[in-house]
Amino acid sequence: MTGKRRLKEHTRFLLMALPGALFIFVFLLLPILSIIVFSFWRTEVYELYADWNLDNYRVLLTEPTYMIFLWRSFTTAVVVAFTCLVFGWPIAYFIARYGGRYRLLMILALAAPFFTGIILRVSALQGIMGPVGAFNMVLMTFGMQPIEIIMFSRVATGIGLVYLYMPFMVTAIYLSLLNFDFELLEVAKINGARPWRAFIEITWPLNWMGTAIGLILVFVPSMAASVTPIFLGGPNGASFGSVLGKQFGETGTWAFGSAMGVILFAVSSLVIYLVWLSVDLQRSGFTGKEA
Amino acid sequence: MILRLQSSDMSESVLRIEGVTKRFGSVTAVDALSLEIAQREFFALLGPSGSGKTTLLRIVAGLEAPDAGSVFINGTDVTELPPYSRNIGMVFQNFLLFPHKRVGENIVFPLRMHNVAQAKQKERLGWVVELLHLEGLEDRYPHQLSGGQQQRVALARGLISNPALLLLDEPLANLDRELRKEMEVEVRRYQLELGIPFIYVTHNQEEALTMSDRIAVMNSGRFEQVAEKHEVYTHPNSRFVAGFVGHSNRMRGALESIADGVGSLAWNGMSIRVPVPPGAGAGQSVEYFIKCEKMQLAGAGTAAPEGAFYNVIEGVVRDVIFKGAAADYLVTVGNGVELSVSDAGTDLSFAASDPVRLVWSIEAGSCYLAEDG
Repeated sequence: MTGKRRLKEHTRFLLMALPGALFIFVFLLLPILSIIVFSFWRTEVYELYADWNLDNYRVLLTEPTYMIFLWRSFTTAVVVAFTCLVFGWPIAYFIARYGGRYRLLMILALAAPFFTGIILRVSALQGIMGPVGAFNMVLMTFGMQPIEIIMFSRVATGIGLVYLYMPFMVTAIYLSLLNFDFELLEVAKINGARPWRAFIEITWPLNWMGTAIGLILVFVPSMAASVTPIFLGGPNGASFGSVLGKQFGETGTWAFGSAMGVILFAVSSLVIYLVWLSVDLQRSGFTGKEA
Repeated sequence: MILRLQSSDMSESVLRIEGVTKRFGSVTAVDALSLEIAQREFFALLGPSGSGKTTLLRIVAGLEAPDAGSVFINGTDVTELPPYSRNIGMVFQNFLLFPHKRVGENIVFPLRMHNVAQAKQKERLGWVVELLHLEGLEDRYPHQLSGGQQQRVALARGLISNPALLLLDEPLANLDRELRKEMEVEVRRYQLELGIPFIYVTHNQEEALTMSDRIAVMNSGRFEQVAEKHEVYTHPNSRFVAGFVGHSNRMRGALESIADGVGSLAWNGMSIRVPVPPGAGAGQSVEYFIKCEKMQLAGAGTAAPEGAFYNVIEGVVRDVIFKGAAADYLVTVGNGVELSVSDAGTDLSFAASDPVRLVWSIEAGSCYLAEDG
């Protein structure tokens, strides 16, 4: 009887998992597998040829330009992720702690920018920060120098990315704080911890996992960003992502583009792995039990 | 209400609160309370939920700021001080151990926060681990412990830094009955051993009676009675206390007549002799409380004590609830009402449908003016 029952549960589980698993296989794993395969091929006049070689990787790793793009994208993504962390924490904390019944509404408001497309939003930033943008027009009207650092620069790209991905960071931290027992802070205070100390001893370690997820959610798309640097970065702001995009568009060098994709994937995976190493499940307060 | 507390030497009181008031919106959670608690005292704040006992405790801890009044610890006004500067320990109902810290780290947390030297931390940890029988658990995480062990760790954390007093907010409420009984005795033992005052918030009268020296019975933000536990149990000074502490039969009705301080209460067609509450006159509505164990059962027709100071009424046993150490008899009297009598004798002298006689001294119960409505 038990055996039959178990079989039934097993079947039910499979039925529930199957559609999602199929979707992920077709639309996530297959493309990744195909770019890995393509990266060892060759393109000629917009055609892929299946003659296996390592040329794409040789060019990528020896041609300094690409490494410079990669390094530039990497550092930008690191700075963007930490900027989001610094600004996102207080926002998430405020909403989780004092949002009351408006919490959900405030989180939804964070998603408001997603109601329009990314190009529109980035162009709007261009309109604010560019040479004829709101800031600089005002400054110049009063006879002052425009702020050059926000005109078509990496800083502008960074600001744009922080703006785009901040909601991910806030949501990740917020969700973590929802499961955080704020009473523990009272306990810490009774036991002699000043507010800042209580944060470092209790709040931060118990929400590090959520914070790490936020860092990853911001880092990965920032690292791969292509549209934002094109719009805000100016001529010298080309990122790894935007150059990658070109391989599949203007230049039509798919095999080379695939190799760039594989490198990007590898770097992101490595970063995720490193962040994961920092999570000690025992020390995260995660007990594997229902809360 | 102004409370006359037992006279205590000013220098001796560890905690003194004066006129402490706290409002939440239109609700007055704590209403102008004053209290003094002496060294070595086990003090229970007993009351139903919402009576303000936890709020009062949180004000003492500094987790809540009073709207009026002052809190003194060892003579120092700490009203404006944050919790981390008050030198108190606190234990919570849901343990609230830090889930990401090992038992040992949880326990020494207060010492670390006060920058106590490592060697001293180790020494204190050894002491408190022995006191609370936590040997061998130092490297576990809280979720690997049983409920009782977690509460011991919470106690250890509350006691390690030699606090001026320990506050306990229903610390045993989440434990099962057996364990609770065991812990009641243990907690009392720690208090006697350490000689610091414990302030114990509970809604469980048995807990309060078992452990404490003095009890404050709270209701709607006020103290109904603050006295030695024996006094609270045997001489409740208000209707609320009489109804809340112990298990009582209550009889409500009009005073028919008064003679020599003994009134006659009309209750379900019977006349019950009751002590006359101060200020009551004939015709007024009163409520009489008699604890279940203060009534005695006798066989119908047996000789009953004579005199104006006893009540004797006839009834029929409807059911017997045998509880091991005692038995509860449900007795139908008068026009069908039921009284509950608790008898420590376990010989089960009476069975259902036996005619019996209930006898009790009127002074064993207490009588109050009934509130209108």
